[in-house]
Amino acid sequence: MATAYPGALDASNSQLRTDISSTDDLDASGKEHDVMHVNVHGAAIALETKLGTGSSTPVNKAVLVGDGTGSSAWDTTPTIGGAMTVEGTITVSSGGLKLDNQDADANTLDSYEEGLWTATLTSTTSGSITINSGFDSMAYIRIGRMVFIQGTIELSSVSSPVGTLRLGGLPFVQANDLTDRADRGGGAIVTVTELSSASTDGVYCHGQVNVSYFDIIGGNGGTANQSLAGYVDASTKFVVSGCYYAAA
Amino acid sequence: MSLTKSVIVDKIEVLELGQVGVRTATCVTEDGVELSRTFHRQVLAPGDDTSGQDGRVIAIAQATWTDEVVAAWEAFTATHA
Repeated sequence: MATAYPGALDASNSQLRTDISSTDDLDASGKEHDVMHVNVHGAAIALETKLGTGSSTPVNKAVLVGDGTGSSAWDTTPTIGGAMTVEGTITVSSGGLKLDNQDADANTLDSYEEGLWTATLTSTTSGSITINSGFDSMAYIRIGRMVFIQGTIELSSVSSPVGTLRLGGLPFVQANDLTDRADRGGGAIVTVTELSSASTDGVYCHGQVNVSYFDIIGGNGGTANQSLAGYVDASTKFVVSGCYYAAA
Repeated sequence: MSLTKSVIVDKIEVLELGQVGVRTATCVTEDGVELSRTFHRQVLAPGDDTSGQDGRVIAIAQATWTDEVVAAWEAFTATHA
């Protein structure tokens, strides 16, 4: 419930006097003891009324907000009219930040996260590729639905890998809800060095919807979609740096 | 002053096709006050090996990965391979 402010400080019209000394006559006009008591108590009650009594009047998790027209009220969804400075952490437990004065999901920043993920490399037909465990941790930063990844992978051994070369372990599943193929990223996320054959070039990543891996494909000049697993040996290195769109 | 390091699974998410997203947090506290929290992420696909995973992750995976879900996932990946 809104509570009206007084028109002026009560001290200005001697209702709450601050100029009474210890030698003053408390029955003198304007300083009567009983009047001062009533005024002080009345002001205290007015403050209690404004701030609330008991545990429920000040609404749970609300702030007291003035409306600029002589009243104020506890508000759980206040609008702050000016710049706000917070000298601590702001935690948004749900809903996210709505930017640009827009309420749409497209203007809502509802995720930010930094962390690590562990890369895996597999050959889809047969054989295996073993990553040096000292070079399998990769970094990620997720801002909204965009996931930025980077790191370097070195191998310890391979065992006759055949088929498509697959980089797995991505921290988030790729998107599957965009128009046409807008949800399929990849491209230059991975650079591969020291393949066993120089005939393969134009290496690129092929994104897939709804999965947490990229296929690493060789362009092989004019021939697209060359499987690379057979060209990987223990000295092959992978430099990862790029981003992709994550599932909602 | 007492420093404590703990590793906990602090978020488990089940996605549309049954994948289970797992976030593991490594927390360092001093006398109960958190000094740092770092994350590790992984995604488990239906039918993946869950050995070594947190018990809650295993329970959720087992509950989610019905024969139908695993079959649908295998069909999906076969289509998109």
